[in-house]
Amino acid sequence: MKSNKPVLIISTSNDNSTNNVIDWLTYRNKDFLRLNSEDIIDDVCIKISDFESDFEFTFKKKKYLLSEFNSFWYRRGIFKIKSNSENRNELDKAIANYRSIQNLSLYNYFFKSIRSKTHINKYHDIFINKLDILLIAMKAGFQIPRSILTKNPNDLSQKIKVITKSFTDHQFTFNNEGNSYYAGAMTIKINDKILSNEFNYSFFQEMVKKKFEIRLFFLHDKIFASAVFSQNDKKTIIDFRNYNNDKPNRVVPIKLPDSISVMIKTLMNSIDMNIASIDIIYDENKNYVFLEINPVGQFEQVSYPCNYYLEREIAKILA
Amino acid sequence: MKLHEIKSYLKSKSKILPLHAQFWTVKKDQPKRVEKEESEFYNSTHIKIYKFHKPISKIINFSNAHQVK
Repeated sequence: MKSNKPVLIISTSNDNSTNNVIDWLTYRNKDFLRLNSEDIIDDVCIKISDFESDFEFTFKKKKYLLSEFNSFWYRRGIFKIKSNSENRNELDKAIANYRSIQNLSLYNYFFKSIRSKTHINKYHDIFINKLDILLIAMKAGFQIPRSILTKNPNDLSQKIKVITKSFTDHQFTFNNEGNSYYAGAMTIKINDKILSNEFNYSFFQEMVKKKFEIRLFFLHDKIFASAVFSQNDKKTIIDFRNYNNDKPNRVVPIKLPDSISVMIKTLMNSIDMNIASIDIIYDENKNYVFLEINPVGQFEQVSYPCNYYLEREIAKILA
Repeated sequence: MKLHEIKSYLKSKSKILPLHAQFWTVKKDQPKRVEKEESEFYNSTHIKIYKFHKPISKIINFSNAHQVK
């Protein structure tokens, strides 16, 4: 049933996917409150008793109760809770550190309280472990590429071609004199020259020869899948995210076999997540090889080429 | 720091960096393209109802759409 209560969105100010969903919410005349990671809430008051339990906070001089919201979307980032900490000396740092640990408990309660409402994603979903997910995917019935995490090149077999990629969702970034330096977002094909470099713990996977890649968006038990024909372009053969803007990969909507859909749903149920982007390779032997899950990834590259209108689907659930 | 200094410094730190983090992309910082008014709308902190026309998909790729099975 449609509710008049507003939607609460936790995001970052520069996230375009959030803007696109907001377009659909406003089309449906739905109120929303968006808290970005730069925003600061104040006057937090948590009431717990046998006759009332609520989380009250003030934002831009207006009071809100969590119970007043109809639904909740955790997109990315996290708002701040006001603290008048100073940073003048080591004692100030210790005080700030202690306060931040105290605030963790407030954040935890906030996110636990709102889980009883209709929600898309949870804050804790961003802490999924990509290595653990591989094991869970195998239990769900998927094939995965042979994988190894090591800092010793001798642990790698000479007989198979391998790639390396990050085993977390975090990029290394460094801003300097008007330039931004990024590392760690791409998948790299390994050769002897690269392997001769010194390196710390790195994640390696067997390189799977693909017919095409599948990027799908899972949303509340529905699967929106796209096939990305990245295998014929040298620039995208290892990683389609290394986009060729002059000649983009062809992207088409596809329907997955029921057996694969069941595996995806089993996997998502196992990790208690209701939204994610999932990458799969359809290999030359007609196997569906699971690669990874991204809980807070962009979904435009599935939504737009395939006309799935995912932003509208998200707004429908929240409204 | 100059670009060659950064590269050289990172090279010296390769032992403590994972292999995938040793491949760098350098981008010149661009000014934000979002207009102030638009930014204020999407990051509105007040609960208000905005009347809007129906949003449209940014790419309507009919060459692909017929392949839906």
